[in-house]
Amino acid sequence: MHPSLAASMRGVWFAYPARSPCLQNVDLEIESDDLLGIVGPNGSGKTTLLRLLLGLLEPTQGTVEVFGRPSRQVRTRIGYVPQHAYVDLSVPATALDVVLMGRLHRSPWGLRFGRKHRNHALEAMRRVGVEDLARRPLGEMSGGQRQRTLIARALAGEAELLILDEPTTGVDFHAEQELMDLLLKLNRDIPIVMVSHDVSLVSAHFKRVACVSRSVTIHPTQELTPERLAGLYGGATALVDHSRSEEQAL
Amino acid sequence: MQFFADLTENRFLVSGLAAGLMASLASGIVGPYVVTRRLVFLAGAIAHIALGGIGASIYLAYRWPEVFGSMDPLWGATAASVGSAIVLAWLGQRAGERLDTVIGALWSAGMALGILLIKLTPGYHSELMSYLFGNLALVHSDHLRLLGLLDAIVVLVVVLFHKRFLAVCLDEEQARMQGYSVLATDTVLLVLIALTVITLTQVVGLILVIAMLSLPAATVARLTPRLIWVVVGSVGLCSLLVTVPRIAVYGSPISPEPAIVLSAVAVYLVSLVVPRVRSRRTAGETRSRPKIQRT
Repeated sequence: MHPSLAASMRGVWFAYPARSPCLQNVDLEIESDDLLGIVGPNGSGKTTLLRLLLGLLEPTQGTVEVFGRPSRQVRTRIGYVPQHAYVDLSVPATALDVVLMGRLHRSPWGLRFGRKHRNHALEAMRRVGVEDLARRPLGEMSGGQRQRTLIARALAGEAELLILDEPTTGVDFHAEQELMDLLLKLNRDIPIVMVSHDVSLVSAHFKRVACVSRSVTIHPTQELTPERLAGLYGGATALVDHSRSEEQAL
Repeated sequence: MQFFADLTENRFLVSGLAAGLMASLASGIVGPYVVTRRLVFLAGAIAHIALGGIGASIYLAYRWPEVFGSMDPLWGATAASVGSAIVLAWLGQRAGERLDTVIGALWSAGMALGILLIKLTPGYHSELMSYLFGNLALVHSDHLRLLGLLDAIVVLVVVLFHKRFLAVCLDEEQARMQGYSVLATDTVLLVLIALTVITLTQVVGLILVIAMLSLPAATVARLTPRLIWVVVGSVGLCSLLVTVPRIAVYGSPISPEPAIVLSAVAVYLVSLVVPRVRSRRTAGETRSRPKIQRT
């Protein structure tokens, strides 16, 4: 494996038991400075692709490697950021409690995390701009704040690859832009893979985009043409290019 | 008060109080995890299946008195509840949507088996009532030793596993990414619930165990945003709930066991009416709290 690769998928097929394959012959390379968006219609296999990368699913055929090893073996080096809606808000926990969970594998026993772990967690919260919320109960944070807290949890675990699943779902426009700015800033140090249904968001901010529709095709974002999108989504799709001053609907 | 005057003379009053406080320690610690992980229904099943173990103990003592004659039926209850906890944890991962029906089946099967075996045993089993409805007046030193052992196990395991329990409550997927099996963690938690059920048997009875495992924790959870403080607070509240009503109804025709449970219900209902305590920082803000169901 190339030393600058964070992750790779080679000839990957995946089928759930007694179903036809939902991913076919996927080849994907994630470089060590990558900012890769994964887009595709509902049911295209985006989530399956992500779970394969995380090592939560095993491919039916082919290999998935992260940092040159099977992803199952390096799970703790991957920072997984789920949709904020997947975290149970009724759990009595503060933002800091949630972030500390990123360090669970380093301190699995006992009632509390030591000072060293708390400092790591607070530093991660500072990086994503939620250090003021450390004592705030989980149920009293906005969607954007919770999403940042989950990113801090991944960073607190000293993740070497960030994988985000639809982080902008249920987040308002302003918070969404801030989240993208944050990801661009973090990307200076760490490769990032983000699954999104929002093609315009990915095309405006990301370096490369992987279009998933059973198979995977990868484009630099500037090559994302209406024809390619139509081929992916099977119909007319609007793409807004934010890099120009006038909004241009393609 | 008459209760305190009699306390020095009647050692059963002392052992009843001690049993209540020892059960409070286990149920106060385990209750918050039961509520947070939404295991109240499973805990109810474990408690009722324990009756099967009691029935089996009584029957075995009748059939093979030389082997099982001296065994306290609480040991049979312990074996049944721990065994059912392990099976239920496994089913929780397997049964999917039908889980509640499967739990219902085990719940009633356990009880039915208990009743069947007791009916097969000749004689009138007055002690059965004390397992079903609790009996604080008849706690003897063997029971206290068993309670002490169970308390020690509960405290030790929670001190070791607290962070993993919290991780699984918050986000199962993330717990898996950290390398911890959700099934193994749930199994440990359900076995702790099984042990706690046994500690509560004499205090409120198997039928009412569920109240002590859920209501004090749910009450305290409205006051503090951190699980560890919910645990501390619920031990305190459980201790008050098993002693104050006991003392209050002493000398009256009211049994202490249902009085304890009704007090727990009353305190919980009051906590629902009093607005939830919020952190100072957000107290002035008006916000909508989105209710998002996990899928």
